[in-house]
Amino acid sequence: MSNEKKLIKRAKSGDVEAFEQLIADYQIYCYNIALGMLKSEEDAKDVSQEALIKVYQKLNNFDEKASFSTWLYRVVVNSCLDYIKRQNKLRLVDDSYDDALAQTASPQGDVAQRAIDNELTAIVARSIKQLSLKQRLPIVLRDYLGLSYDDVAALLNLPLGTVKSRLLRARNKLREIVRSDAAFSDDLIADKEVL
Amino acid sequence: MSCQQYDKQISQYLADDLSADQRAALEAHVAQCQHCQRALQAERAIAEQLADMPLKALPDGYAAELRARLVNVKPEKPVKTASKLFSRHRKWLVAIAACLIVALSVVPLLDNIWYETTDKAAYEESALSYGEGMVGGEMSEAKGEVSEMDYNEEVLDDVATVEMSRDAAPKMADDLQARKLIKRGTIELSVVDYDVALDNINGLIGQYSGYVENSTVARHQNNSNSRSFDYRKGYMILRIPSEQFEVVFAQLLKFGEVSYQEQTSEDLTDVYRDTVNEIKNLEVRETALRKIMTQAETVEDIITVEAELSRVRGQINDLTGNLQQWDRLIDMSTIQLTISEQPDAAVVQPIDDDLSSRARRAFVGSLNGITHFLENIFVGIVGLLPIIVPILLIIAIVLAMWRRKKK
Repeated sequence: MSNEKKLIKRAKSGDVEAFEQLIADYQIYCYNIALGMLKSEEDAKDVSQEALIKVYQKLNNFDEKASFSTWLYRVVVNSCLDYIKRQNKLRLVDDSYDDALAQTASPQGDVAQRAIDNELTAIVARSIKQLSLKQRLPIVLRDYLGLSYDDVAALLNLPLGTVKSRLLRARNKLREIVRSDAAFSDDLIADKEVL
Repeated sequence: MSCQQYDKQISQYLADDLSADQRAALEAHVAQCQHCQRALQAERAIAEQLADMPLKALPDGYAAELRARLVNVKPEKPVKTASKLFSRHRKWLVAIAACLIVALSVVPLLDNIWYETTDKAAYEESALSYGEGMVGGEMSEAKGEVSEMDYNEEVLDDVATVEMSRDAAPKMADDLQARKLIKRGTIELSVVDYDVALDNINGLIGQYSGYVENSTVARHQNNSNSRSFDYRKGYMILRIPSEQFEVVFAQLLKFGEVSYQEQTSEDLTDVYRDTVNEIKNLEVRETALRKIMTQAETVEDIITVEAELSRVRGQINDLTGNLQQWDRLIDMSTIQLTISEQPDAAVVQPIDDDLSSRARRAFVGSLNGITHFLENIFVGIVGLLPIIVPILLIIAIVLAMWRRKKK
């Protein structure tokens, strides 16, 4: 039995510490998924915690043949969607998330490159929030959090083909928005390889 | 292809989702198109930015806050839905279903085979030897296990059937030489004088060794045709020896004006024979069980065999009761007789049956018809309320949900 399965078994019997160990590697993803879907960091914190508590409560209904992380992320996505419905806050991020993304720019490299990356990051962050939730969610899950296509399809409960076509449209739209940004210039991408 | 079409393929290109031909065509185009080069560079830059962004760290105190909330809740008990139960025990359920299907298919076949069995000795020997072994050890071990007990029953069935096939069959053939027919007749008679008709009927029944099983008589009043008079109507059930049925039936028809007559006969030969066979099977099984009982050593064995004996005896009693009832019906046929007394006076026709009175009757008839129709509609609607109300509720709920979803 894998370590994860052992932890699940212990957590099912009400062992909080086992549950904390179980979600230790996943909770940051849960928080970032919520951050990508909701208005503020505060909302993301509350809803991701609510989702984790829900996961703990419903752990006995989890089919251990399925992937725990996918199930966990799906609960987070559904909790965020429920929250959005409740709050009617159909927007991606506010300035705090904008800032959060901007602050995550790579600190490595020379000063000039860092400045370019920071500028690009800011533009990308601004552009992402202009996408609809339907387009934004696959980009956050796949391109930002790095989940596999299969995982994205599983946790959005969509066919793989639908996920890929949504991602294609979302990326094209994002590029269009980025390039139309007033601060964008070809100089920012001049160093990128073509082929 | 135009730049616009290649532009749409750029993200697929970076995700490696293009076929080799598409990839080659796009690369060839990008190599000579500055616009598409910029698009590709932008796409690559965005993808890199997104991929390189570290995850946003959890807020301070996130884990502690979560723990404080977690300690106040407990994992809920698993919900066992029907589908989950089915999926969990699918193999067992399929196996049980398959066994049931096979059992239902095979039992009738075995039944036929048993009736054709003639090799008594082999069956008897094997069955009795199994019975002895069972009492000594296997039965006590298999206490409570249905499969073992069922097998014992099958063996005992074999013994019983063979016993029947040798000893009981000749006697049964004697019993069944004649067809087992239940004869029934129905007559409705109109008579001028009820008392005279009743005397005649009683005389006839006595002459042919029959009897009256039931007799009722009621006095009625006829108010039709503007003339009121009393008359009697009687209902009798007569039991007549079967061999005299036709003679008595024909005689009864002469006692008045016949308004209805019917004769039926039900052939019970097959079912009667099957029941006789089944009783004999059960009796042989009962004998075998009694033998087993004498050899039983433990209290558990005795209780088990006694329970089976009791069940077999109960079945024998039930079936014997059926046979006795059928015997009564077969030996003595049944005639249901309805006698209506007719008034001896002539029927007086109304004298005012002119155009206006007929029109009045027609008008009143129509009014009554309409009233009756409306009453039926009202009763129908009230009667359907238990169905209509839930349907309307479901429609209202679905509409409400649909409207909410639409909003």
